[in-house]
Amino acid sequence: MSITFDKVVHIYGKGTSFEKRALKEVSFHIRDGEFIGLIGHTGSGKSTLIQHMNGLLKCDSGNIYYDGKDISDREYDRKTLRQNVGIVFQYPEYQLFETTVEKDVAFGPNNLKLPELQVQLRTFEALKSVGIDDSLLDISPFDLSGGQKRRVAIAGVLAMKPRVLILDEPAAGLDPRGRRDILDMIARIRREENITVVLVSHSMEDVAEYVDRIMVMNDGALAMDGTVSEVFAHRKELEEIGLSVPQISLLMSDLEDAGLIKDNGIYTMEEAVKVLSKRLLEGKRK
Amino acid sequence: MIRDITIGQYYPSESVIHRLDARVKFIGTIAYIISLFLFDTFWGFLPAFVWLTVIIVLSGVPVRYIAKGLKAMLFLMIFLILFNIFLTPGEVLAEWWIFKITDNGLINAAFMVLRLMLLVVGSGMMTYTTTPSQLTAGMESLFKPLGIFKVPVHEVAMMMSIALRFIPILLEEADKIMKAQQARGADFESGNILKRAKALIPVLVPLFVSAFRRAGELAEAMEARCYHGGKGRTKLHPLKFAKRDYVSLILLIGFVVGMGFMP
Repeated sequence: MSITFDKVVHIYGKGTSFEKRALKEVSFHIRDGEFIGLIGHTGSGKSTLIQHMNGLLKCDSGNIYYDGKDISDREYDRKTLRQNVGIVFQYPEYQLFETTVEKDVAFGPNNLKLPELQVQLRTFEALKSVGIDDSLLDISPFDLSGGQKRRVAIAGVLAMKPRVLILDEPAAGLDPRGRRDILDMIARIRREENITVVLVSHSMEDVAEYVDRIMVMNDGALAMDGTVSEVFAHRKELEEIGLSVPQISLLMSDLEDAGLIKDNGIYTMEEAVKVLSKRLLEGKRK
Repeated sequence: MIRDITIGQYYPSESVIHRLDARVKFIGTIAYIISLFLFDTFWGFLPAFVWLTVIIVLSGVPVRYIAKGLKAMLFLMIFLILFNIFLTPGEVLAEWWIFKITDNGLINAAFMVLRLMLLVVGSGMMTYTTTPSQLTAGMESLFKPLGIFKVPVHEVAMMMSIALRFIPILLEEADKIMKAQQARGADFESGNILKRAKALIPVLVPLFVSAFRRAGELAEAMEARCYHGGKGRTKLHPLKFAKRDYVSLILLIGFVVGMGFMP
């Protein structure tokens, strides 16, 4: 599904002394199947933005369109919207509540009033795609490990079969292995299901490695929007708004300044390894 | 929506009322509550209303903020009004099917609601102007004599302040969980009462789980800082009566005595 935001404004605590403009005329267009990274420092409006994407928050002015249809329209069905746009909030494991893993994942499909068989099918599929073993189906979700709980919680959203998947810091608080597993899993699900994914993250490395396009939020406005290399080329501007470029890019630009390599514009470890090993071989030959 | 509950929440300001000793405010609130039950004609509301207005004006807490706190009581008030109007015997003014509206019923309803509003707003003023830690310190010092009867005064006071402190945190958490479950298609807005109550299970279970988790973490953090109960514990800011506290106490005594003479 394609998403279009047109001058979306959101104000918290309108008319009180706590009034805050959390979104200031944000406009953008996300094509079907894109993998978006949403970055911005704490309080920049990322969470507010994603809550507009499935109608949990309503904008004070502006319009939001899915596949060209305005979601604030009276005729637009909120239930379909929630089904089509899945949000995985931060620390989703804190939202588990059922007595067994299976029941918890089935909560979403059951709310869609699907037939029993369909619910079961979706539950199993979702759990399989997040890599939860069948032997854990009847266990209480509270007895799982941290990483497993998070997978089950993500499965709970996947079981809704969303066309757009939004994840708020899905790898927060996990160990390096857990981070990688979760992010790899998301990339794989996106490929297999061919869905649009919006990944909110504080890790420039993760964003550089996984997404196609980066949107940068600053103080309630969209500060930058472009491909990974386009955005990370603006190192200075990023640092000014409390963000940064991936650490490996810092190293590479230092090496360039020292005259050891040319070709800057490297944002992932993989690229860096390629360039550096090539350079080392050249050095040996000399 | 859920964050609109302002009752019991501190409103930061630097007013005279905010700076008053917590013990004065606590005694004042109790005295004020008792005074609301000392009269049985409408005349009594006048001094109580004036007294409360003066406090509100002095405290600088916006009326809007106070009104929001009152909104939470709306349900109870409607209940009170209906019961009083229909169930008080007296001269019948209007009648419809089994419902009878009597003159005494109307008077009673107005009386009760006024009293309840003054009560809620009045006790709310204490929490709006006193931080939980001040309040706890004040109560602890006031109830200290009960320690002779082996009442764990410090512990109870500590529990109270922790409970107050965690209200906003739990409300925010409930809001977050509700959103997450709504994203999974949960519906809190439609259906009858039974259905709606059932729809709250996916919110309440995680909320309790997280409350217990937080309680455990808090206990550990307190222990890590060598908390071991009230015995031998000293304070950074010991409570001390200032001139304004004595003045307020005298005014308070005047008010209560005056209320005692109200018809």
